[in-house]
Amino acid sequence: MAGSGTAQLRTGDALLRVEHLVVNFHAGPRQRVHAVSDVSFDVLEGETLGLVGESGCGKSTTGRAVMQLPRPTSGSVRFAGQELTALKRGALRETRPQMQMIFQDPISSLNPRRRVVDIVAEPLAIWGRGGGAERDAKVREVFDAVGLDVDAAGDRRPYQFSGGQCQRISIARSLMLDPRLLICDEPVSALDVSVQAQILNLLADTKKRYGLTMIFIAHDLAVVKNVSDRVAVMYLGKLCEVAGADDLYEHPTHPYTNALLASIPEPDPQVRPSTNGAGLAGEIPSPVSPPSGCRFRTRCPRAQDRCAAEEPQMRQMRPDHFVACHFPVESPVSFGATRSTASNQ
Amino acid sequence: MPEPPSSRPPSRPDVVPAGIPSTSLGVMAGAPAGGEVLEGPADVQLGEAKTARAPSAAIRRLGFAFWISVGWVALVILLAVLANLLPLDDPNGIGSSLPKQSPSLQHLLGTDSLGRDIFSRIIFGARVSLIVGFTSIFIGMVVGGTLGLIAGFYRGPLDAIFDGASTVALAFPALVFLLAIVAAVGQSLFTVVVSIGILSIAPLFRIVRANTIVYAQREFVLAARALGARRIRIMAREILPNVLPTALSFALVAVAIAIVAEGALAFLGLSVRPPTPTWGGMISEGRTSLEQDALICLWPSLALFFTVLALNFAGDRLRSFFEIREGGL
Amino acid sequence: MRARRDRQTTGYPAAPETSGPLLEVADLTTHFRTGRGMVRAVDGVSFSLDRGRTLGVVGESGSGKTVLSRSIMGLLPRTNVVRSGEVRFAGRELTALTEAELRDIWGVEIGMVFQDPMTSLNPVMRVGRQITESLRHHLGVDRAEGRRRAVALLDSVGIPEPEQRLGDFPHQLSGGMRQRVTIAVALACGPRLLMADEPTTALDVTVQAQILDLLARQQRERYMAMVLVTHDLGVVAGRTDEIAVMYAGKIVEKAPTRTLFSDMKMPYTEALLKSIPKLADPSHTTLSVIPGRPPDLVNLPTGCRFYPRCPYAQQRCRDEEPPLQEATTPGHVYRCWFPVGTPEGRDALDRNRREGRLDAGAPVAPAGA
Ligand SMILES: Nc1ncnc2c1ncn2[C@@H]1O[C@H](COP(=O)(O)OP(=O)(O)O)[C@@H](O)[C@H]1O
Ligand SMILES: Nc1ncnc2c1ncn2[C@@H]1O[C@H](COP(=O)(O)OP(=O)(O)O)[C@@H](O)[C@H]1O
Ligand code: SF4
Ligand code: SF4
Ligand SMILES: [Mg+2]
Ligand SMILES: [Mg+2]
Repeated sequence: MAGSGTAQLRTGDALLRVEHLVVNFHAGPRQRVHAVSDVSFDVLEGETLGLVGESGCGKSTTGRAVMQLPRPTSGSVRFAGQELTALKRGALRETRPQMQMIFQDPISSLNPRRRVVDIVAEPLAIWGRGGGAERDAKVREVFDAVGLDVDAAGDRRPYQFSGGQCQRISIARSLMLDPRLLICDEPVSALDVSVQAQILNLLADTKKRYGLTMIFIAHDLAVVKNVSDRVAVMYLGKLCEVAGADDLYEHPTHPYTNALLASIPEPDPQVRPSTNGAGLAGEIPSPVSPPSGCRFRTRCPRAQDRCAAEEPQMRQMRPDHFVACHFPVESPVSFGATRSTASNQ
Repeated sequence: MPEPPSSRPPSRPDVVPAGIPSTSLGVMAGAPAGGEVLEGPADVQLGEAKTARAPSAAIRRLGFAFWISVGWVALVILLAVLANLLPLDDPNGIGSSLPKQSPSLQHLLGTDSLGRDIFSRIIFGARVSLIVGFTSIFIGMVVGGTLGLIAGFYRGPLDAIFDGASTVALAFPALVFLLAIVAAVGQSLFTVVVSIGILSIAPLFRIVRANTIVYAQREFVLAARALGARRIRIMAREILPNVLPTALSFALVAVAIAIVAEGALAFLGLSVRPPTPTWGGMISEGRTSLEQDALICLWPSLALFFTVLALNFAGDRLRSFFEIREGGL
Repeated sequence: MRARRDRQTTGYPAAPETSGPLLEVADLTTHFRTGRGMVRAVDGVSFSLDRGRTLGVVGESGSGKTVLSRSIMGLLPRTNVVRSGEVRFAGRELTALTEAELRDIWGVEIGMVFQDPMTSLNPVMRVGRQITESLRHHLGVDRAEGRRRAVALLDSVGIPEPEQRLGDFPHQLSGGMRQRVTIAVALACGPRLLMADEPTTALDVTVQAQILDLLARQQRERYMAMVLVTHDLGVVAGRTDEIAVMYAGKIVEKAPTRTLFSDMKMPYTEALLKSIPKLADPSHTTLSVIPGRPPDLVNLPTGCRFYPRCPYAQQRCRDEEPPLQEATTPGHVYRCWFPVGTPEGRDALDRNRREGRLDAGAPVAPAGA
């Protein structure tokens, strides 16, 4: 994908299966934003799928379309055997407890006027579940799960907490209804590296403790790799490459994946950052009028005429490693190798 | 400032055995497995500066002048409510005393050209001003606020219509509208209240709508939708509490404007019928004898001026107060 | 070089050339008086920076990095600030200058790039004017020449179609493009020092790499000195000559970049480095974390400011503040009683581990706070 196709979908039961997802927004007269264009992926029960790409490539829109917030323009979203796009409003509401979302901006995700205990207890109040004592116990449990002390923190309001703590509160709220799927939309992008590590570990623990399936969205491949089993690389509304997290790093096949990897600032002075070339030049084009053929061609160092004429389809390169590119990096110059030899200053 | 329950690490050395670092464990609730340890205490720095639970801090931050303003408005309301119980002269007792007396112990602010006690008339006149100010804005708030909340939350064609209508309404010359209604329907307290109330719908609608649009885009609203909250609940629980403080502080300013509007109507003789005292009417009556006795005109003007000033100031302070709290972090 | 010629041809008084370092900061202290007490945001910071060199300043947010860089430039609030110490720039003592005199230094001798481009760009002024404005004001170039230079500048910071972009407003540009424009504005008068405060924190990794490359190239070509402030050790690793690690208002370790990574002495530096997810690690690697948060700058812990979070901490750390000590490598200084990689440090760590005390990355017994 920077092409389309469904080769990457697995047979058998997936908790979530998204096929040919399209989301367009209206932007002024006769202008449409092609935010997500024909994206397909699946997530198995208990798996974490990482979704990575530059900002504006449609990651959040994809995550929200899965939740039907708003409903996608077209395509299919099957969750636990139910076709969400076909559900009426009432029936869709019934599925809400099973899917939850955490957002990028920790402050904006919490109502500034409410006490954090009320924010966290709200899901039960919405669904009228449990009596007072039961609710208190559940609130206590999730506060405990995210490492906050309900007695000390509960009565305060969101602005009295740091970004990292607000993100914990968001996670606590999302756990209240015992969801099966948790969509994390750049939960650590606004945080310091030290706090980022705390939250990433917390998410890993939470996943284990509650048996969650996750979609983890980020723009930093190193972060995504740390939490994911499988990674989907996204560019301008399309998928580029889908593979296991470790496999993707060892054999990045799509030119865009390679570029993303080259941009990560390695905390090692031996690794000299790419000056010209390896890094990605230019900026992501407007999704209002995306390039023809392969959407990455305007920035791709390997682009040929064929890339403009024909959209690449997802195909398998290695076991469980899929790429949408006409001229994939077949035998990638191993990333570690180029980097370590480039250490002469 | 009371110590927050999650105490700061260094402040409790007594509970620490020989080991030092364990001090900071004191602030950590059950740390989840896998090397995860929580960040320290709830943000003490921000907490103390902005704590909503510490009323004394809030009182201090609103400032002395704010509380003077509130005190003044409260005093005026109290006097107006208790006017019948107070040992006041009959405000309409024409000729019960000599006209145009200077202030004395008997007549604190003197008497007007018909020999009525000015102090008593100002207090009874406050009733009209306050009833008009608060009731009309209450009407405007309920109607305009509700429409603003709905329009801002749902957007779409309905919103476009309301918004266009409010633009037109705001372009309309307000005083002309007031004069027209009163002239057509006739003078009465009810007419004045309702017509000023109608006039206040459009501006209050716009304030509430604009704020609603801002908050409706915040991610906590999306989170509530993802949790399956119904729209009515989202409006009531998530958006209204955020919109209300700004709207109410704006409403205080609107009350001041309404009181001035009533004063202007009364000045033109179009508010409640004489002899019922109103501030605007008193100013108008005093005008005729302005040269001989400026005080007759001055007292009601001062009452009007300070009440309007106090309402304006209090509304303004409240607005910035809420903005600061909101801006935290 | 070009900068100096500009100044001479336009009659702008060139600052006196001295042989010493371009920037020398000695014992700089900046405190804020607040209702809660004194916020000790910067507390006795010293360093020096030569022409053409880059210093990275790294630390968690709230450690005083921004206050430090603003304090160096004299860009502080007018009230409730207590500043002491010396800032010598090209032989002049900046702390002694009036604001009017400083204005001839800001943007001319010292360029600035901030985290949020919108704070340094005027939202209602076209991009072209923002660049030519300072050229014309400081260097007295005429309109046509200003425009020519603005185009050249936008071109040199990698903005495509610079002529067209001159007429754009900042909000019409993407985040990365805006940051390029702020860099162009900062470079317009040919400064000798560039202060970059988290210039890439708000940007994507790909754009971050581009902006960092751009800064490095400009710096090399112009022989500028640069202070690069960031919270990410990865950002400064390959792009600085020297790194200063800040914690709670103090520089706790400073070393040439390679030395810092290969032979770090501060437990804080080590912990900061370990908390970054590394590409080379397999997925699902548990990250080491620094527990807790930086201290409240009003109520600082006694002794070493890092002790409540330090895996090496001992009783001594709480009682005595460690002085700045020199390591074996020249230019490498640190503040620690039990440095990483020394026998004392290893002992301290072992003892804490044995006794089950706080240790970043290891499970900690739940405490009923
Ligand atoms: N409500 C909307 N209306 C119009 N355009 C939108 C809307 N939401 C997102 N977009 C556009 O869709 C594209 C993808 O956005 P998004 O999914 O937020 O990207 P990401 O999360 O990857 O940064 C962007 O170009 C964005 O401007
Ligand atoms: N004008 C000010 N008044 C009071 N405190 C301030 C002011 N500016 C910054 N601070 C405080 O100084 C500390 C350091 O802030 P800063 O330099 O912005 O940190 P960093 O840039 O490292 O994230 C913070 O605790 C901040 O609250
Ligand atoms: S080689 Fe062609 S198909 Fe492959 S990413 Fe580049 S432009 Fe797209
Ligand atoms: S002095 Fe002690 S507490 Fe401070 S960093 Fe060194 S070992 Fe840790
Ligand atoms: Mg997004
Ligand atoms: Mg900063």
